[in-house]
Amino acid sequence: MTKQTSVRDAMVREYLTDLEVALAGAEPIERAETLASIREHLEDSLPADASLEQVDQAIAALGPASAIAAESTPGYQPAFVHVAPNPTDWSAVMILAGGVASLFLIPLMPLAAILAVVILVAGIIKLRSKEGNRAMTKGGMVAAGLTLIMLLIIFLGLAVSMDVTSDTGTQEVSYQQD
Amino acid sequence: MSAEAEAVLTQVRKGVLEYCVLALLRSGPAYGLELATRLGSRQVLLGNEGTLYPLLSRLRRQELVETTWQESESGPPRRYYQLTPAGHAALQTFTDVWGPFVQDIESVLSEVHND
Repeated sequence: MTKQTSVRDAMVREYLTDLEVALAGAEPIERAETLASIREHLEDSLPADASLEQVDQAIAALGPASAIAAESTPGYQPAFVHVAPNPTDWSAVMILAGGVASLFLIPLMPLAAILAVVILVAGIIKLRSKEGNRAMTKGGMVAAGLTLIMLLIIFLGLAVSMDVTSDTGTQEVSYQQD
Repeated sequence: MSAEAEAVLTQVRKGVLEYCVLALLRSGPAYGLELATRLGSRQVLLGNEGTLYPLLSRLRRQELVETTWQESESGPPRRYYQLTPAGHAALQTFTDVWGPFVQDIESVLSEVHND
């Protein structure tokens, strides 16, 4: 391949690449046919030993890629993208509501503890599924976790106070024996 | 040619050039370069040869023309375009309305205002 042939091929290739880019928004079938037809047009109009000037003239006669693209039919471009509203993630809502409810049920200690544990287990299962509203699920789990911490603090507080009461009672008994 | 004149021509060609292509095919099938050369030999019908090809693709999809491949003596096979019966009918309709349309335009353009 001579240097002139390679320059000539490069000129044609560059023009066709520009055209392909310019036709990016065109109707797909029309884009493919236009590109193929213009390639054929250049093959037809240029002799095998075409000079660089002849290639330049053939490309100039075809016109700028932008002008050809301007005459093409635009491809389908939706005027707006319909975004479906996120369906309510009811399981996440239940986890959040359960977590918050467990906080309010702290005075009823066993019930609050059971509910908080159930919420934490349900939250872990849901987060592992990687579906639904993760923020809401995590919120419910945080509330359930707080409930368990508060219940633990209350339980420890009661245990200590009962222990103190028990010690005091023992001392009182021993004083009476004395 | 001035940019204004070119802009006017671009607008006027829309909707007309495709019927000129159909008219050229009335005499028989022709390939792309041949059509481009015949249209380009007129003064103002075809701005850039390349703009012919999106138009030919549209005509084919509208089934006003159909394509066939034929061997060429001087190179690779050529894609020939030829009129379909629907293309003949569309060209006839255009021909029927074109005469009165041109008369009206010439009449309006030559009208002298006496205001």
